[in-house]
Amino acid sequence: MIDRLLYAPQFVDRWTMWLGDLLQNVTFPQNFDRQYDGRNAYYEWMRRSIGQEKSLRDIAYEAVSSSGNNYNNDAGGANFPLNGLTPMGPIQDTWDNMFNKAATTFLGLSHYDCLLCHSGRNHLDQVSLWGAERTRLEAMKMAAFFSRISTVKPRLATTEFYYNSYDVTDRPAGAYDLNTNYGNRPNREPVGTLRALTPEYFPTGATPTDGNWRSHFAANMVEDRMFARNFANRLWKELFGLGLAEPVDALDPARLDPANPPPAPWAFQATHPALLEHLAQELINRNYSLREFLKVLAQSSAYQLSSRYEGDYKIDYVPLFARHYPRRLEGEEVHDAIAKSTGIMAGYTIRGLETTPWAMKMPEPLEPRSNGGAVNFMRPFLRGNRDSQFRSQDGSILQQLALMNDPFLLSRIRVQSSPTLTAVSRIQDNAEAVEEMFLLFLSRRPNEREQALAVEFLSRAGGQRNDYLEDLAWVLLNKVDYLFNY
Amino acid sequence: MDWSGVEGTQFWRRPQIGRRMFFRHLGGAVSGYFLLPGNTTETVARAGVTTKSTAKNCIFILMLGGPSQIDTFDLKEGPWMPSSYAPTTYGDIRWPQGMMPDLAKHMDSIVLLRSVKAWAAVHGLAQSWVQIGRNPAAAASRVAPHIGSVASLELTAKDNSAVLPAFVSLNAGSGPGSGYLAPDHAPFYISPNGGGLGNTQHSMGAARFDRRYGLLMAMDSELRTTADLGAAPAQTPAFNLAARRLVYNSDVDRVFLYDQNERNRYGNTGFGNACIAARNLLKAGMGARFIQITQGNWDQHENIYTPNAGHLSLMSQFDKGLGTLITDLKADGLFDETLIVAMGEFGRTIGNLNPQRGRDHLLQQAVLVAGARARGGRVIGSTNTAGDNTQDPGWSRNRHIRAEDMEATMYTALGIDWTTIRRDDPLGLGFAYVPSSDRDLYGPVNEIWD
Repeated sequence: MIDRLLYAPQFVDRWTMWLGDLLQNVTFPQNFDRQYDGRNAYYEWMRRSIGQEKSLRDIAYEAVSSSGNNYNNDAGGANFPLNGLTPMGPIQDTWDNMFNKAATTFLGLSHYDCLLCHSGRNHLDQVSLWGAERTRLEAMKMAAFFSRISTVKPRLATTEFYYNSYDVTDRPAGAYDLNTNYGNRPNREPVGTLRALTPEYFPTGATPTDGNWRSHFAANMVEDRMFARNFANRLWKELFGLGLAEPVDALDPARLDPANPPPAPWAFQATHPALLEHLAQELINRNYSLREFLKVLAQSSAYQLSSRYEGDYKIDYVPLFARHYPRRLEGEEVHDAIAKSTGIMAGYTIRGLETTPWAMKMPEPLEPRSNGGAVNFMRPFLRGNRDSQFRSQDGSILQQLALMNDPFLLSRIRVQSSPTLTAVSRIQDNAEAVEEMFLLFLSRRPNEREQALAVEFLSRAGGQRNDYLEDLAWVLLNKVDYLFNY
Repeated sequence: MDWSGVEGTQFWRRPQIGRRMFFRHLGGAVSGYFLLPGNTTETVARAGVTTKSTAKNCIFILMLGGPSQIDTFDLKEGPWMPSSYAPTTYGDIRWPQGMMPDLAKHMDSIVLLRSVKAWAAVHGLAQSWVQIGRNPAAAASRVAPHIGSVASLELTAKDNSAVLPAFVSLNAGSGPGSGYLAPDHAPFYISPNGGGLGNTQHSMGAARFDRRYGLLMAMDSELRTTADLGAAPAQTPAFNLAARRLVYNSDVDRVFLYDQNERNRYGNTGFGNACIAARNLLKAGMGARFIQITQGNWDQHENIYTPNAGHLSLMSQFDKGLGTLITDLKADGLFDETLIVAMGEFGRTIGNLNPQRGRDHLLQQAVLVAGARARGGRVIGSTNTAGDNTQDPGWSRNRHIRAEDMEATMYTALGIDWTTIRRDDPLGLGFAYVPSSDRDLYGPVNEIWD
């Protein structure tokens, strides 16, 4: 079962969506325009990476170090550094943000965002044991790895394919100058006689041995213990709903090593430090294979626990993972589940990509732009925009209104238009029909009570059995448990 | 301390202000202590400022794209100006009466802030900025809620009779949400058109809906009461019941159903329709307290003066919608208890038009304020002759008015202590309603009332 899912084509859709969220693939982020062709190249690169079982290490390495035009699928990874482009400031602001995005995404170290403005002391003392000891100089030396990147829009006529694209390359010379007096971060001023910084990786102190500084950063990054911890933790969260260490992008390296407990009053950041460390090692041992690592998690007895807890459950038990935490379905999942169970598929036009009926195949959560009805239906499920608003699993009134009354849903639970409901309507026996309906919409059989209620309901249908079947379909789509993976 | 000459976006260049200076600034308003950073034992700390508390409600009009201030709230006359503007003087205010005649009738109730400056001239960034009242790029802003979500948190605590969420956002499909606050405080997005609230009617009819809902309740009764599946599913029934209360609800219909005559009075536009909904929401007293109306398309880089299009059309829509709204709120006795703030994310370039006959992005902007007993008929602050920089800040802090100050202004009007710092944020950094209020870097524009 686990293997079948790991190697199903839908696995590629699902984890490309995950990677797209993580690597922030969106056509129009607030700081620059990637354009549709850039988005599509980035998407195709991710899709191929997941499909061809590229390791997380290789994906991350390419994302940080790729060169080329961001409209080219082969250079799709070059879209990742572009996320750091920062207007309204000197070029150092962009280098800082490129580094910050890499550190946050791949090392779980978003505190570098703080450190790129000011040292940790008096700022992060309450928040991060590691961060409180770090200095702005250390952070800027990390950012210096990006100081030779060049992102240039080729000068082309508006009719050219590559118009508005970016050529991402590396210059043979240049350094991180300490000479800014405006922009998004405090002034960068010379330290004594030091007027420019060259790269130095923290904590190893490694410095580049040749001119391509960005590749050196990528090479150091994927060898960093935090890289393995970061992905072990993020993937655990994806399956279990809660990271072993939270927040997953603000890890505290000084409070993670099970062999070195932090001094009082600090406690380990991870609820299970030995487990996180073990999983980080598992990820390394499995060559950073996404599928192999997910298999380890899925085969664990912790993952296979029931979401029901026998006994008196207390909120204090949450970090113990003593039960499975239900996960609310994403907007795309709700959309696709309804399409699949009713058998009514739309063909969505996505600019520059193949037409698809599946929301999970869309390159970004703002699609399908060509179909307002589908976007409206999914909107209250908080898909986010991958830029200023992140995907959220919060509930809302609008979500419930959509499930009750949205035309997308109501138009699909009609016997006359849904092939699957038509098939059920041909089943004469009510008990059998009810069981089929539960399997169709909830992928499970009804319990005795549900079965009795539903059969009794259908028995009152008289000459309107199809109407009553449609009613039952609506009820199953509005059940609390429909919305959750539990 | 004088920031008026400071160019660019150095929002970090904060004047270092000591405790003594801080207390002097607040003067008699400080009644209690101030929590020093780092005290994690307190959940909430407040400096204990005296708030204006003149508003029960707030209508925040976001003019998306950045309206040209020299064509609207900070009128500058020159050879570029269309004759249709017919500039007219109302006390302190010079106003394009020809394009905005309805608001002209309410000039004695309107305050124009002209020393306002955005931090960034990039749409997405600046739009988020004015809605969360802080720099979206700052590390802590990842969890920052919308100003309306904070208002919801503060105001619903005092009002348990609500049918609708306290924070209603009209004509926007997405934007900053409730941040780390509970999802109850997220914006309730509606795009009203007079045809009722979306998804509150069942296309298969009320009888079918009742039959379906009845079976749902029977079948789900156990799941709904035992919270058997844990916390997230346990919240769902509450949202479901709140949603159910809105379906086939004649009170809701009274707010969101209105006829063509009414739409025409407000200009028969999306913006006008939202203004009608805002009025009805406040009249109905169903719990909506912070209403955002988003009016898009102000980003007019080209052909800005084409008649009946772009900028000029938006001016008319804005005038008809807001002008009629003010008239109606006054008639209903709601105007004096409702703060109205209208602004974009930044302003536009001044003087002659660019080669595309439009105006580009500029940090200098202007804001319209009305209601909540604001002393109208006045301008606060002034710009230079061209209109691209502040000449006289016109308020106590003697610098540009910033998005953070506008945030504090909305809070103080609503009776919310804008110096509040919550200690319940997931990053453990402390969430200040107005950033850096512990160092008194920002505060309300009290001159609106004084």
